[in-house]
Amino acid sequence: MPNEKNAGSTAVLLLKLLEEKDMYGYEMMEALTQRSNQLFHLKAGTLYPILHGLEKAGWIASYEQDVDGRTRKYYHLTKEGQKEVSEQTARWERYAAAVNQILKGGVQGAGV
Amino acid sequence: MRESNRWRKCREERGNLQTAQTQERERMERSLEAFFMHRLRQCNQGNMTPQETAKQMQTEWDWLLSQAAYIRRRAERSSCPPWIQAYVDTVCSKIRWKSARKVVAEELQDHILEQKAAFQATGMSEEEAKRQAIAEMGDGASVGEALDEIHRPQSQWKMICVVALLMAAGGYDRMTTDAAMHPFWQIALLPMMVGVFLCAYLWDMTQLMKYRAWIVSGTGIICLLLFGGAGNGAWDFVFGADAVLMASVALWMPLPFLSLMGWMRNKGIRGYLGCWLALGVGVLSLLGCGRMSNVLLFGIAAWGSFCTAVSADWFGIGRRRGIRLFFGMSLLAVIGAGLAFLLLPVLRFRLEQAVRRMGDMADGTSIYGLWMEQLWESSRWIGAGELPADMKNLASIDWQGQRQNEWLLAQMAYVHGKWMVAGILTLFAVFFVQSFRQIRRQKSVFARMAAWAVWITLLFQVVCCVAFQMGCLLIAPYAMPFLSDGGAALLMNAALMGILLSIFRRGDILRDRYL
Repeated sequence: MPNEKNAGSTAVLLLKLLEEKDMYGYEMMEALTQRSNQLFHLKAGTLYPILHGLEKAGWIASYEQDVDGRTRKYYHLTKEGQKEVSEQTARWERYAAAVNQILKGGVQGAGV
Repeated sequence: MRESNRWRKCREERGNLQTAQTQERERMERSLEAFFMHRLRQCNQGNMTPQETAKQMQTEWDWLLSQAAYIRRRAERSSCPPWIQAYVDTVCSKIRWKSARKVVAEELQDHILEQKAAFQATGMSEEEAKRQAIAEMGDGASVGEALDEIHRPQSQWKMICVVALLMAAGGYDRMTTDAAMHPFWQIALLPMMVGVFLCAYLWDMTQLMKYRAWIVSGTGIICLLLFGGAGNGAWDFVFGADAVLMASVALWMPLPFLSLMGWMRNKGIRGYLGCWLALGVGVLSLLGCGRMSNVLLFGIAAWGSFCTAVSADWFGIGRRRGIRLFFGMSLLAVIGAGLAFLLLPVLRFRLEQAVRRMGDMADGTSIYGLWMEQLWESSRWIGAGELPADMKNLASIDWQGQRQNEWLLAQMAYVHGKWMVAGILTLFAVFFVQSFRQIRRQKSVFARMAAWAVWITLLFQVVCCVAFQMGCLLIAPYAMPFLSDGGAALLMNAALMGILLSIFRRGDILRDRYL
């Protein structure tokens, strides 16, 4: 089970999760693991520095709710965060398309 | 060997905690029973029928039990178990900014408990689940170092630059136009202001809440000394000829008022009315010191932070009820003040004086208004202005080499050029707009209350000064932050600006429940 290497790409994945609904840290970690079919498994010690960094950058905001007698911190995507997600998604799609094209072209080229 | 010693200590601590919790629970149950019996006696004395009494007591008992259960659950959750505390301590020891540690610790604790519950749901034993949950977090020291990089105080460099420019402008103007001030004070005041500003900037303003009892008691004693004599100028009783130095008391009075509101948190209607009483006493006390601007300055600043508290249901009386009560009482206070000024001779005299100031010349214009109009018209955009010959010989106001708050900006424009006044007003506008935005982003109610109190105090002074010089002569200005004379006011305003920026410096790390 490979661990995440690039905090930047992980940050975008977390922002994408928050695009759907507000989540707290543990919930995000579980969602990421499930949706990536166990490919991405984020340790909590890596998750929180990234989350706090995103909050400092203004891409997410946090609020607290009382849950069963304890305080839980939820995160919410801001407008700037929404913009960042859209930009990063577009950038990734361009990158993935370019890589796919080269790979397909490499296979075709080999046959010539 | 070291590992087993650590786990033995954790087990001992857990045993102590459980004993303490059991004792606490028993004590709470005894208290509840005593309260129940007391209410039963009250119901019997109130001539309720046995059925009514039983129904009432059942309702109250159910409510008390639910509250006790909630409090117990919260206490168990909020007291960090020792097996988590060790990990959290390792992480937090690497975070140099102490204010951030509690927030981080709380979030990590919540996560570890969730993870442990998830592992137990898969069939793991409790001990194994705890070990795995801690292992899942990663190395505590590395996590702490990563969080330390993120959690730093937010330096307010842009705002500090604005403040520095205002201080420099004020210092330059005092040196070039104030012949009355001793050269030593002209030089010494600037570094004193910088020192006071920096101390306030680095100060932890949560101490207003932490030491609230001391602050409120101390303020009460000072106010008694200042205003305890009879009648106008009562502070001469203690300070004699230097009583004028205490005129800046209105600038710092919103701070002890904040401490009082902190003390009255969740105290219900008693706390709410107590704050109204303190506000009234403060306003009436300042009314005796001779300046209406002082009264309004404290009154409006305190009212602003009071309004913030009520909107956030600070006193626990219900938000909508609190807001209705608050605005109702505010309206009554304004009507009462208006009637007092019209009906009480001593106050009516002051109102007449203020109105007279707006038209004290034979043709209905004001000498102040005329003088400032001439200064503005004679000023140039760059460089010193030139008064007409007949105005230069006007003997009724000898303004040469004197700085007065009443014509401060007009004099500045005349001596240095209108560009300086425009620049200063632009700097103030930038300061107030930026700080307004930052105040709205504050999550902590107490931080918002403190920020609004200071912001309104500073804004009121500037608006009053500018309005007076634009011709609105009803309220004589008290001071212009950093620009006007009066060492006490200059230093106090420097402290207030420092406090405001120190609130922004903390960002949104402050939590009201930690206070």
